[in-house]
Amino acid sequence: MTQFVVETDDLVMAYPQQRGWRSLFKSLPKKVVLDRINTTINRGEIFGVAGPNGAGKTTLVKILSTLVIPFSGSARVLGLDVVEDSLAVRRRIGVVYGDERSFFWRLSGFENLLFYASLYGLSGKEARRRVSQLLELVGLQEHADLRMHHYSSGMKQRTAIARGLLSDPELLIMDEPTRTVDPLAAMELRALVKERVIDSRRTVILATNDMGEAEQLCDRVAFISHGKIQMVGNLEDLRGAFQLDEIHHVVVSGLQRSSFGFLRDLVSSIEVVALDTGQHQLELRTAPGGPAVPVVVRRIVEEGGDIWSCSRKQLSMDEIFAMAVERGRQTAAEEVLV
Amino acid sequence: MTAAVAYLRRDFLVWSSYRLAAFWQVAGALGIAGIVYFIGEAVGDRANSIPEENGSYAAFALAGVAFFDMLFRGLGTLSASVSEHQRAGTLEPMLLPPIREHELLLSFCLFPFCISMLRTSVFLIFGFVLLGFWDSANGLSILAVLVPAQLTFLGIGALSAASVLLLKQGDPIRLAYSVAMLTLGGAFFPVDAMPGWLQQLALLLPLTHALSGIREGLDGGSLVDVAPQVAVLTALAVVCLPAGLLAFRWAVRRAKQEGSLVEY
Repeated sequence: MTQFVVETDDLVMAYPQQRGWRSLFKSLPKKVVLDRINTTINRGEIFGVAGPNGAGKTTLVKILSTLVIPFSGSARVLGLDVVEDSLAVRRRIGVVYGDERSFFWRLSGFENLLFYASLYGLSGKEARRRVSQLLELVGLQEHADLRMHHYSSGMKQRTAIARGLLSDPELLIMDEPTRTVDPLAAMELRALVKERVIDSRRTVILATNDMGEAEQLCDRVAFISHGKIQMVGNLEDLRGAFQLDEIHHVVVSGLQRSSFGFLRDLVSSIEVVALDTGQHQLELRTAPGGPAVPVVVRRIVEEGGDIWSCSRKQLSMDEIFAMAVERGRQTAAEEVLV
Repeated sequence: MTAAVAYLRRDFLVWSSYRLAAFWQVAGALGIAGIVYFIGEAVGDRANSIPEENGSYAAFALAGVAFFDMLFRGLGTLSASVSEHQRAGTLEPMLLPPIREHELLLSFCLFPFCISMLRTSVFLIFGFVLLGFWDSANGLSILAVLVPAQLTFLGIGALSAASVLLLKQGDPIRLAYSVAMLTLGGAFFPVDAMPGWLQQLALLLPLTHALSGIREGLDGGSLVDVAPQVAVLTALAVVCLPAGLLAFRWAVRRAKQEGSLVEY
């Protein structure tokens, strides 16, 4: 049994630029939206697919969930080809949509889930028990009999999570699950996913453009921009790829702005900002892992300065995201047509 | 099978949640039956060119309307369901569970078929109980005609659903067929009343054979009497049903290749 739950090999997706009856008889130019995607996802991993709008995230998760057939290349999910074995793939995966329209609003949450449970082969008491369990899991048992058009966006998303789990899937694919909800509901949904949905048996793919969400939930993240994976790794790997220097902020008093020259030999670069309080904030860039900071602190004290605070600044996921997108823009070919 | 029952239950729950609309679907059939009756009264003896139903236009048209309603729904339900799911955003979730395309199609049409049976029953009960028509009807002959007719229309309906998936708003198959059925199918006036060349054209339509066989059955015709119509309709069903299902399967695959499943 392969250790990878997902494997893609030179996966390319291209959408026709025009649709309609003409495309049935004639090959029309296509725009490439995923360009040679090669990646693997390990069993039990929470794998983020991050990128700006239009980057190709949803196309990738739709290929993995068998809703889109790739133009070329291949994708295997749980060892099965997503095109040739699509029925078998669908038996073993669950999908959570960010689109809240995917339910029948005239039916209650319970009735909706019971309907989908039947499509996954559950019936009778077994189906009812499973639906009740899941409604409790997502905290909707009290609203089970309420028609879904009375549900808030957050409640609909909870129901979508419950639907994704109906078949107790080995792989759960979540496509921007917090896209339509307010920040508080998004926070609650993330907590729900973290505490109740993720377990060691299940692999999760989370497509998102919320970097905080990726940071909070994912073991590894693939950044997609302009149809290409710009980088894949855990948070430290990603920071390492962009943050070539360590950055430290030191707030100092008792020294003049012009007197910090003595630090120049100790650090890669230094910027001094005068604060309203009369203090100075130094932004020091140093080689990673070097002894510069203790030496700098000692020298400042020796020169008569007082140190009020000293902190290490790390690139946020949003900054990494912006840098990855910029890298994608620089390396992107002109609009690719096939 | 579980999927078909699930769809039947879901469609019933949605249908019954619109109580007034559900009521009007049945009441509407009664209203149309009443209109047909009054037209028949107005036409009176001038309908004596109608060979079936002893020259009663009301009986002729009521039978035509009742079964046209049923067969037309068989034709239009699939494309309407696909279109509705595209607009509601539920088509992709429908295609995610492990069920095959033909199961999905049959599930789509099960409840609408039940509703059309109900409406047809309303027309027939109206004619039989209130107007005293068809007292010698042969149910077995009618059924023998209806089954291959429905399967034929299901096949054409699947072709029509495939065209909705590929062409989105346009549904040329349904449109062309509806117009042809309305004008040439013999639901509202006898095919014999049309010019000869149109009568030849009408013979190409399954509705012509279906309504002719059903009227034969309503007049008490035996299985032998309806055998020609059953033979034609069975041949059409053998061609249309597999063709429709294959076309729908191909259309789903094509829409997945184009990434256009949810577009409408």
